[in-house]
Amino acid sequence: MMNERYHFTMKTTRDGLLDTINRVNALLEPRQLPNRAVYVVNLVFEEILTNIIKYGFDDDAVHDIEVRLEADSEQMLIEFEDDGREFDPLSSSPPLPDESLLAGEPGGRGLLLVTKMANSVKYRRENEKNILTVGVRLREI
Amino acid sequence: MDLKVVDVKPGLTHIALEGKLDVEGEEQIGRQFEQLTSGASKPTVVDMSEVTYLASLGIRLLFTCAKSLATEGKKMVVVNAQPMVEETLRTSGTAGLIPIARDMEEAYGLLGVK
Repeated sequence: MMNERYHFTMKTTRDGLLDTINRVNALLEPRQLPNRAVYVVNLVFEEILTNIIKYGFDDDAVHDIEVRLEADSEQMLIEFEDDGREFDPLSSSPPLPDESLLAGEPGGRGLLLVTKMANSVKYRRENEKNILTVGVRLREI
Repeated sequence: MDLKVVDVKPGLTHIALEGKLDVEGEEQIGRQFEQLTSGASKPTVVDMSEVTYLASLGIRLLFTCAKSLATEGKKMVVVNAQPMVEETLRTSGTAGLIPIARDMEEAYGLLGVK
């Protein structure tokens, strides 16, 4: 996978999500990457794709999401492109620290995890599409 | 993902999770976890020593059940979380609400049970 690029198109369905995560893990597995890198890549895919599928569209139709991977020995860049309504994850307010369980809300933690545990997150809007690029360091420095 | 009931006492529920608490994992054990934790309404220990992955759906499950217990004055404690799972709990702010214990003795202390 190193110094290589992958591009695939997935459907905005549960099976599309699970199939994509399985494909990515099949790419990662032979590389013997540190546990943290594999964990964070999985987290990025699950949280970003779940968010797009659940909240990205105003209709109930099945849409396509383009996923592009680019990796060298140090880093993986993951690009997600969808035609949902404009949404910049970096502009959304992270949930405030909860003072108590009773006052807290269970949701809204996925994007927080991605922005804090990935090494870079960039958003742009092009041609009516959301394009989110997430960088994950594959090796400890 | 597997869920195992380790011990059920009059004053304590002790369960253990094993595997990845991802989309599929939550689907597999979510309902049973709810029944055993918030449904039983007792102080609860969740052993996560064999949980290798935790994402926001799993956090939502833990949070929802712990919140339900809290409405009845009961606590939930996570015990033996692996390093990346513990980092996920801390980064998401969950660890401030559902304490992480190193062992059962510490868990009992946090729950106020013997």
